[in-house]
Amino acid sequence: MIYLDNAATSYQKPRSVRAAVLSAMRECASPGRGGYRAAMTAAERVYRCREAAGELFDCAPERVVFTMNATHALNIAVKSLVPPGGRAVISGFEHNAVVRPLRALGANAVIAGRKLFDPADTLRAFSREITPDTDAVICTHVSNVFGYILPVAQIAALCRERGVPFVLDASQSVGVLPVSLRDLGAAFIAMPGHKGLYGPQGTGLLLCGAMPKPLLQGGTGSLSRQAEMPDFLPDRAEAGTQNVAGICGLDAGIRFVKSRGLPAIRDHETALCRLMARILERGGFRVFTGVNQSGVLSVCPPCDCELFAEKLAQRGVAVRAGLHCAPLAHESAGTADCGTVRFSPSAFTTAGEADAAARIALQCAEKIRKEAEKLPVSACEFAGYKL
Amino acid sequence: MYYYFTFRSITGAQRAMRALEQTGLRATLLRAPKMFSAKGCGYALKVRPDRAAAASAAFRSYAVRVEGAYRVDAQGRAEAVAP
Repeated sequence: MIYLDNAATSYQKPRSVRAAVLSAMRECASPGRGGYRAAMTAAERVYRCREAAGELFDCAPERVVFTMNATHALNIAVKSLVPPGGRAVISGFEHNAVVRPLRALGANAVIAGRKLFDPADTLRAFSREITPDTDAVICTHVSNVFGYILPVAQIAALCRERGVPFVLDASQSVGVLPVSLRDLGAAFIAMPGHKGLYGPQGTGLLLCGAMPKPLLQGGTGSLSRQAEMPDFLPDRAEAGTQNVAGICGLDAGIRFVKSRGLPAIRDHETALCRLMARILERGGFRVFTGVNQSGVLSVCPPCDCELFAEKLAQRGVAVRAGLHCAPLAHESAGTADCGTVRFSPSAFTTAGEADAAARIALQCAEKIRKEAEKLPVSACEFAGYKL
Repeated sequence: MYYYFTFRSITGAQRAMRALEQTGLRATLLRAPKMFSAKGCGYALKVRPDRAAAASAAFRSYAVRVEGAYRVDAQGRAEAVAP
């Protein structure tokens, strides 16, 4: 299989990640609860991961909160800052992990900046919409559909100037672009552990520049006689037993990313996307590319995107088609009705794989064209064939 | 005799432990004895008496929040002291 769905989850993990998970399952009990060796071993490994994350993201270890995934982290962030019926400014490229919590709160989600690969327009729109009554600005660092790198440093600076809390969704940038809690002065930064950090599924991080409101209440192994959740980090946002095996794997993943280096990973993924874009563009695909683009490439195939992805899957190429849980981004780009097929490489993808995947996509497209010629118009319409 | 420095959480105690390690001091991380954790469930660093003052200084230097400090003699009598 040529795996190109790393924007959903990185499937090929470093060997050290698998080893860390297995070791944790053998040697770790519940951290922060008992005082015996297996509990203290777990506590030490969990803290090592906090330290590794704190070092990579420029914050103190206790500001690193472990979550199930980025969605969990974003829910904590959004619900800590935006009251029911409040006002939030978001980019035109947000994931449903941002849009849906805001909708559930009945918040007024003001959309700023819908032009793809146009950071100046994005910045102007945020500047216009960040008003004194804004409860929070929530912005993705990189669009999970198009790879557009938003000008988040400047947006964060605007927020600091205007005294509005800033939340960064680093789901697609983490492990590829630098992310600093200190430099951004963000209230929260949310991220998954299982994408660019190469940890296992079921891991995520919330970096806290502000004090979160607990999404869950329960045991923390601290202040047990108190009925309220502790008012200090990380305990305030970490009720219940942690995913120790996952966290140990995440720690190994973070160390892998540090050892490779962010610039090397970014350059590698960008080069692979450019390679695929060149081939697909020559084959007549509509390809979404821009200067401010990270390692995610979306294309419009010559038929229904889901059917096209299915044809690629049959040839051993794993990609994601459809709306990618980000209908807002598709509306912004004008692809909400047709969706796109997304190719997203990782540090483990080779140039040979990227080249082969793009050429297989061309072969599939050619086959579809030939099939479409033989089909009645109604069948072509059903399959979305562009004749 | 030993000194116990108590912390609100395992993470707080671990941060304190790292501060000591950075200063070249050794300590034992353990669950805080019940008598030192009136609010229930805490962690402590057990430090030899000749290292207690240096440990206090390290905590201040690394801005580690200490919940309490106790001197426990050989007979197990505990006395609260200034952290």
